[in-house]
Amino acid sequence: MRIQLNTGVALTVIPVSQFKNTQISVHFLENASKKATSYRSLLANILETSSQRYSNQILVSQELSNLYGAGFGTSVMRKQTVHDLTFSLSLANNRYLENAENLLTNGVDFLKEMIFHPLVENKHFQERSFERQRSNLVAYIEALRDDKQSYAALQLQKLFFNQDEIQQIPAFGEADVIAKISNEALFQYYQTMLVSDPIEIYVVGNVDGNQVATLFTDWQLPSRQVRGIQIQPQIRPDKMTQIKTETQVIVQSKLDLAYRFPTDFRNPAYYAGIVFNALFGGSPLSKLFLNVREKASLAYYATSSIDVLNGLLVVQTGINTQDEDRVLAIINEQLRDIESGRFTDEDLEQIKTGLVSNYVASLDSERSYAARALTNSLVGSQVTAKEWLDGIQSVSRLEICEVAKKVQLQTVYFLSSEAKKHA
Amino acid sequence: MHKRVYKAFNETLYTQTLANGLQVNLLPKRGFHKTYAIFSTNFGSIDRTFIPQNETTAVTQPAGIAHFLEHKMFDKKGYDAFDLFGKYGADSNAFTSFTKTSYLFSATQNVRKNLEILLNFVQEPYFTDDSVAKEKGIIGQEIQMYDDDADWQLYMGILNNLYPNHPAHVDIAGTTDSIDKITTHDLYLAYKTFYHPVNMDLFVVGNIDPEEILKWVQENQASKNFKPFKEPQVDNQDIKPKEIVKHRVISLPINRTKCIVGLKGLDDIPAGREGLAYQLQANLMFYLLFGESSEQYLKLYDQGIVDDTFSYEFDVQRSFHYASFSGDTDQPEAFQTQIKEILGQAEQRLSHLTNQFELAKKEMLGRLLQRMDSLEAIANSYDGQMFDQATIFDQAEIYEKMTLDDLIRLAPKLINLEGLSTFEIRPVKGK
Repeated sequence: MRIQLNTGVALTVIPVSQFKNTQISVHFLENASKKATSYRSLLANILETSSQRYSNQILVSQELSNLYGAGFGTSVMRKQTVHDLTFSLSLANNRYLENAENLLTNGVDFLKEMIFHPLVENKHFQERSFERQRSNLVAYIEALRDDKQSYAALQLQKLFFNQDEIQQIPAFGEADVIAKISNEALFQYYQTMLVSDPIEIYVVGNVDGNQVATLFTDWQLPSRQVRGIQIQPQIRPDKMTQIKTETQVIVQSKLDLAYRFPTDFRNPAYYAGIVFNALFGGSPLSKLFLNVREKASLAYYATSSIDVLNGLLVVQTGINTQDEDRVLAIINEQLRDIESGRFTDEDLEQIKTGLVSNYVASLDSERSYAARALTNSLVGSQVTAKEWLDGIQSVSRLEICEVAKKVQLQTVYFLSSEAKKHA
Repeated sequence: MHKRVYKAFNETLYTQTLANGLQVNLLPKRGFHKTYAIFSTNFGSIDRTFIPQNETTAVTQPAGIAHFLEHKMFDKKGYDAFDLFGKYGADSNAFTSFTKTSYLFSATQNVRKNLEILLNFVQEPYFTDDSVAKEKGIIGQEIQMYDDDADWQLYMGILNNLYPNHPAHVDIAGTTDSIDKITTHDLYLAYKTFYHPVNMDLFVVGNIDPEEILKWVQENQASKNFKPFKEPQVDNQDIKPKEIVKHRVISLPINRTKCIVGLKGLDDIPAGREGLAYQLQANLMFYLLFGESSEQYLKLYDQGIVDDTFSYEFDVQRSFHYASFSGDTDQPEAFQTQIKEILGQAEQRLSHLTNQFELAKKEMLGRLLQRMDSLEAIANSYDGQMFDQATIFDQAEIYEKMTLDDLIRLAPKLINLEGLSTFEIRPVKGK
């Protein structure tokens, strides 16, 4: 059930009876910009930890306990050009609790408080909370450098998108930009966001659609312009291959590769792209897993993933420094093998079975319902479970070879351990 | 088949101990699409010193043997179990903890076939010298990956401090040196000592008919012969429990100091359900003292001594238990002093927390409900023999009966400052 609460504000209720909890998410969407990305990330942290009524973290978490351990959080992510600041609440269903009443009503009320009534003084956020959250976020981003797998992935992203100032930065923003944000500017941004960002609300669980609709109609969200936040798949221009090596004092080296991945969205080539990725490195039955890890014993992980909307294929591996060339050669060989059809029908069937199975299994995860609905809404095309599954099943060998032919290596990033040998 | 109805949650658990000793637990989840099965043995990384079946003297095996065995189990004569699951549309995996090794799959189709693959590959050991040698490369990479993971190093660091005389101080995967010593013979010896139905349990949850599943399992088990089995004799005794390393600092190429305070449990945990009650009481106690709704947490947070990276954990395992409190901090001295101070005053503080205690019980009940929506959480939280076959559904009752006095009585038993230790990882200077 989808209800347009006002221009640019939509509520989608997805009743699923198998769950004992209700999952609510409120998405503020905006065409991403370099500066706003950092603003929104800091905003997410501030709005998560206090409000007018719950002026510190104790009061916030006591209210959550009062709501029977409800899980509340904010997050930021980016789907190609759209930046998404999400408020989510996971709430137990009344019917399994003896003395709980109106949990849904109280939960929605709590969300409203956290989103629309921040802790404010003198027309900006409370200074103490602002300072604390800003320095925490900066520290958090700095500390991410210690996670070498994610560090390498971010470096690769930066190189691959070196011509695109939005895609080269992470959805959680940049530490140096965040450190310089002023309280006044952020508060001003927040107020603009509240009235101008298109909003998508999702409620998934064993709920009554009309009751939910009434609760959110009461929010009386004003209308807003929808400034073309629909996403079109982008094919990236072909470039010369860039190679970068960085050395750090680490034990395991990381070899990451980025490829141009020119498949369109939700046409036959799209489904072929999904199957290609699962065959190449996106599943435990994939050629990368089998050949880099199981046969050559060169890595614990060797995986691929795709970002179709950005036309990107990424390979990540953790290896010994001296094995770089060998691993690179094996990865290339797998790609050439797929290109020339060197995989069996049985391999292909298994890969498809795995994808179908994952899809059906995702119906047991409450969060996946809203995620899928949001993607559909952003790309402006609905796809039913049956259409998706049929799309996967009808992918042919030839179509997969075609995808592999279009894949072009653009960036190689190698995070090398100093010639230190493992003890 | 024994049937236990949990009316409040609209769930029914079916259990049966088979003729060969295997404990089977089945939980149908209406409306779900997936089936998740987990087959576990009571054998983990700490179980290195034991008397092998039919022998009289103890052996000590290389560190990392249980985890190595887990990896090698998938390699069968003429096939790979992992691939076979894939062929029938199942995702499979396995993991090793300090005290357990578990093999699992999840599938939305071919449940019978996948269940048989699970039972068969775990019950038919097949190890060769060649494949053992090859596995050393893969596990070596796994160990190296953890070598670069500062949070893992922090965690292992405090276990090193707390358990110098107990095998919990060694990484579950072992070291590159220790796994290098593992032989085919070692693997068979461990297998024969610990992988017997009597020492194992099977939990299946999801879109299932329990009668049908039980029949399939019984038929599969009846077709196999198992030798008589003696309860494994394992030596995991900590002979000098109070001998711990009080404080240690190392440096790694990281950006911010990481700090952990460990509290070793020097008391005895009661057996069976009482033990589970102990664990849940301790969890609730630490939640009241260190959780996000505690005054102490807010004070430390506002002073910048802790931030969102702060976390605490209480872990009960066969033969040992401990609590730990960790986070990134720019004030490591204050971090350590403050945590110790809160622990030292636990008993007095708790007595003032009547309202908070009632709120916390609500919180815990809600958290249980959240986990009941996850097939994995339901099956993985089952601890088999350790807590007398208790499941997540039994926890609600324990919480309902719990009083603040239980926690006040627990505090002085568990919090013995002789069991306190600290460990720090500092950034390498000039980096």
